[in-house]
Amino acid sequence: MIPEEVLRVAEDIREMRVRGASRIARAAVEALLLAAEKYQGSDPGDFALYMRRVAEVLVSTRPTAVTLPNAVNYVVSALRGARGSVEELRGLVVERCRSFISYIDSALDRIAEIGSRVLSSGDVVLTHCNSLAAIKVIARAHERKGLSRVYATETRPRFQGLTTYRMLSQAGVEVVLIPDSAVRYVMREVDKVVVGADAIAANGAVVNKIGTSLIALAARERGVDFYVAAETYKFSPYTLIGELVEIEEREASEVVPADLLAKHPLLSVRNPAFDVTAPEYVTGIITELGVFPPAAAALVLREMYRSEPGAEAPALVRGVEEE
Amino acid sequence: MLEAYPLPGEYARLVEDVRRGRVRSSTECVLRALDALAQALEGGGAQLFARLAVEVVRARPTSALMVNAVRSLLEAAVSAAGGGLEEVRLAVRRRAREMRETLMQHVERAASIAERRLEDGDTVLTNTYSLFVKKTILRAAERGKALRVIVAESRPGGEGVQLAVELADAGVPAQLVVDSAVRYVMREVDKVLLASEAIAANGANVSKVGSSLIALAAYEARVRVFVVATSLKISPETLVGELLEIPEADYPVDLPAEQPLRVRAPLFDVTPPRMIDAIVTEKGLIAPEFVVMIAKEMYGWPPALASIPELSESFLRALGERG
Repeated sequence: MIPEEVLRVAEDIREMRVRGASRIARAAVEALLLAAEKYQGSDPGDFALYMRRVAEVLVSTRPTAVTLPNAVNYVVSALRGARGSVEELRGLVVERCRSFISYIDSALDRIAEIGSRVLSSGDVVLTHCNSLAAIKVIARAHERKGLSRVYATETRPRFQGLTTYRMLSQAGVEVVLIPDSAVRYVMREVDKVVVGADAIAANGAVVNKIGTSLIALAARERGVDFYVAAETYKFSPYTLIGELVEIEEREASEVVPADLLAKHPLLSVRNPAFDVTAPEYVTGIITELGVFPPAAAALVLREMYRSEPGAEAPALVRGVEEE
Repeated sequence: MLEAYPLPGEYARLVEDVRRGRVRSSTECVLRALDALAQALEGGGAQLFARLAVEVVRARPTSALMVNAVRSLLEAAVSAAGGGLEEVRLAVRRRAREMRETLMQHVERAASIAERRLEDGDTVLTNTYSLFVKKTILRAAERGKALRVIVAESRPGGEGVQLAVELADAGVPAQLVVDSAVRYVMREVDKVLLASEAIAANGANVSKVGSSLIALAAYEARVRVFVVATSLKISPETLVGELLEIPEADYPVDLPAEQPLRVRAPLFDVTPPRMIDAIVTEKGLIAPEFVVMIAKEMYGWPPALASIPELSESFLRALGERG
């Protein structure tokens, strides 16, 4: 039996009460920590099975997320081949959870530091949606050298731009909210674009909130630099073995009231959550390890998953890693 | 002397609706203005008429059709001024009626030309609410072509929702997307239809904000872009180097926010001629580069045009000199 609190976290992720790639990863790892602490049995084999079940429940909440299985795999892989009492195994899991959480925090801080160097004093920056990494980069750059202003897109259908507006305003930045349709109009004033990522594929393609690729296109048209701020656990190992990053399409009711569709049978809504920005539109990916050209994404993945060039692709499957 | 007194309530409201883009299509906006101007002469007299002419044009400075239609009405008034106010009333009413008929004919003619460019099975992408685009699609559907139409919701304002609803009710499957999803869906699109607020002498098209982003994404994907409009939307002023002014909304955009926010909401943007395959008007289908020739035919070279305030003043003078 999985504890009530853990199921509640899974539900929050599934129902999008927890949003954003890093927040989801963090919530899942915190749930694993809680689950490990709450386990009351004494059979180490049963504990391992129990942790695996919790992991599966968490991963299944968002089948297309990349950070979620990456984070969960990182934690439960501690149990792979491990021997010992429940206490000892629990210790391994708890240790992994804590190190992941502190890694998230320090990674964001490193990204802010590194990313602030690509922005210059007086820059006008444009950002999209609500990315913690992008906001940290912008806020740090503003604190260090002073930015002129930041354009934040309202980000339909869920208006995450309002959260960005609030967070950047609190950091003392002059923020101006624009409709998503106005990005090409304001691009002539923009010096740099900084966005986050939900996932980065092995070829350097960036999966992020719908509209990101359109902004990249408008930036390219005017020669504006386009940066992506992302922790390395957003790089998708699955794409290294040829898997496509699946784009989730969400309910129509996010876009129009549900009864409008009921009244007009030939009316429908298409609501893709993400789009893919091709690597050639990306100036650099700002990670906690440094700024990479997107083509170097495979290098990051090799480092993370320790596969040697020429060696076989990592043996990962979608969902929880097999033992 | 035109500024002497405030406009009566109903006229002030009309001007405000026009200014804020509350009337969904630019053609309907002009039709309402023509009616109001004829009515102003009946009820209020020459001063009110002359004043309203200046105000509606000032409220929508980008609309070439508004400028051209109001100019035509004022010219009719000036030539009839020698015969007294009663003559003027008749002449203006006649000109307003002719103008309405002409516009409706232009919608029909342009649509039946543009319709030929749509093929059975096409997926068409469009945005905002335009009588010209709507008629083109309906005409093609009437001729038995099975079309699927994707409509960008077109914030701020969201006029695309209304267009999608009307198309669906007329039997054309219509799918709404958020404005930032236009690049995502572009790979499925066969043709893009754009409306027009004004066409500059170089063939650039001013239209609802976001139109230029759609054209940019279409250009990238090598999808054909057609503008459907009346030749009365060609701006003769741009022939002599006048820039088309893009008004920005200085009012809160429909946002789910409690606090007043710093917002930038341009109502229109400019699609450069290189991203437009053809402009379809009642005169036929032309390359954007040919607009200058049409403008020359219509207005002479260089165009000899009095400004709307100048015409208003000369109308009042002509009427005054007589009496």
